[in-house]
Amino acid sequence: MHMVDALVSPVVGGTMWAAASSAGVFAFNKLPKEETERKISEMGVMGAFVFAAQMINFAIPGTGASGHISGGLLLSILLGPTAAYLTMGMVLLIQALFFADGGILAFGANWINMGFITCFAIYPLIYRPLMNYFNKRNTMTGTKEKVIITCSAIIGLQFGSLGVVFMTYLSHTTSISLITFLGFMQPIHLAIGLVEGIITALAIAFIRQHEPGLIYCTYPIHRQKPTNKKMITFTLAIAGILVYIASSNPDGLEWALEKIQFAQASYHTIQSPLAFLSDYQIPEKIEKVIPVDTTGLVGVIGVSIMLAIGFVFNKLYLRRQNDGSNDHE
Amino acid sequence: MNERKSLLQSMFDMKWLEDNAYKKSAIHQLHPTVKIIIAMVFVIKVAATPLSYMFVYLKLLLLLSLCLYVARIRVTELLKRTAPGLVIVSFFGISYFFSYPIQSAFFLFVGVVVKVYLTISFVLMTVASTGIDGISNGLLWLKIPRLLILQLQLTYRYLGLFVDRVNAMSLSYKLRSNGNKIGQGIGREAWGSFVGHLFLGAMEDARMIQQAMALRGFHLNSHLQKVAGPTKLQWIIGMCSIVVILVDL
Repeated sequence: MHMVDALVSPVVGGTMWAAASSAGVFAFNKLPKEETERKISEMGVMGAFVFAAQMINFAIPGTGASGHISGGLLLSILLGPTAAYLTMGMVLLIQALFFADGGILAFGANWINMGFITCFAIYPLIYRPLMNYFNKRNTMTGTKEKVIITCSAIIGLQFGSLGVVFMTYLSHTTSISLITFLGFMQPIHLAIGLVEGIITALAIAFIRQHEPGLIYCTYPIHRQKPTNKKMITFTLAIAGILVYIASSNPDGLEWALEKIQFAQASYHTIQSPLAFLSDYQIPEKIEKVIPVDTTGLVGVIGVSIMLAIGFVFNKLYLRRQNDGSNDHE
Repeated sequence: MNERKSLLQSMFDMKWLEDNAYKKSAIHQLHPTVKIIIAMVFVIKVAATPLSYMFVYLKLLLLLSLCLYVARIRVTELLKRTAPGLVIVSFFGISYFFSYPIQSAFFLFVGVVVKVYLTISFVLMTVASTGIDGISNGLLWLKIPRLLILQLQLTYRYLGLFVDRVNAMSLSYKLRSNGNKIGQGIGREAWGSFVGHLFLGAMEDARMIQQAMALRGFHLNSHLQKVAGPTKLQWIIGMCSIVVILVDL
């Protein structure tokens, strides 16, 4: 997404230089002064890391093409927005000066498109609020974090490419119409943004797992529980409501047994005296006391019994596991 | 929008730049600050010149060629490094053929390609004849904060370390896949772990280097010394160069 000098007019380039430098001065003043030495060397390492990460080509599934990350969001998550903005500036400057990637007149424009938008707009306005929202409710999970990072990367890259289109258009260096240029740039950067987002999310998850102290602002990640209140309520609702639309016809086995004249006899002699909700019906004595239709109630009772049995078995299993681990100690 | 270079290409670029910085010529001896200012003026002049002003581009091309001759930098080497930029910009150049008559479109196309070549080449020539330390001194003299210059130097120096590691990791990934994934990029099963491993491994290397530097007495304030500014003669040469660049015959 680097713009080159020849595609930027001096007016646009100069304006972007002024804007990007002002943001740079702001970011520099915000750096923590008491730990500058550690921070600066960390920023140097991160800058080189992003430069190297940009060189890795990742296969885009189903396209046969490959893409790379731009790294603004990754830097913001690892270093914080102000340090990330300065680091991104240094990476872009090295790319412009030493590797003919970008340019010195277009440096300001590139710093705005690839640094400012991600570090000072996407990170504080999308990533952090969403992370805080779930964190306050103690519902942050690894999956949610990955989705947030992916969405942030996509939005960041969309705005970045939008910046490229408008700056090129304002520079009057191409005869392509604005709509055509937008139509070309936005969809392709949507796919690239998706890949960048997934890579960033997976990389952050990996770093969080192995060295969480390297992440600028850590959020506690809760494990997804296999059962929770919502799941139980949902199951009970299905049992209580969907039972009304259940077929009254016999199932396959009952149908086969009926054919051989077995079911009727077995029902009356074995099943009926043992089962208290035989054939999914409330016993007649109780049904007379309750004035409403009890079909749904049977489903709810059945599910509740299953949950209770599962709960008891789970407790017993956990107790046994704890006893086993205590024995080892 | 520039095309990404291969890992080895980038390593060669760094070596090429470092090698050129140690040559001796009149341009190499010019103060870095003067060279940075001249490069900025040159780039702005190229960017501000309309595409149809072919004689101005011709003059700037002659100036660039003269500088390359004096600095003893080979044109073919520069062309190789500007190629990715030229390919990308050709896309914009082709669009002229849909909007203008064929003759005008051809001149505009050539104009935009020459424009890209001039801007990239002049900056590369400046950097190749100055080196990272010279660039740092030039920026320091221009009152850029020491910390940022130090960060620039550290990032540049760490690049070799990281590029080396990426190269080794990519090679091992390709070898492990028995040659099936050569040229395809890193598969999605390794997206997170590849970047994560690269980060953690290189951080470990960087920490060791940082500790070695600290043991040798490295300190932020002592690292970058105050540099001498350009002499009067160098300022005069710089001003004359700017006049030559800006004035059209």
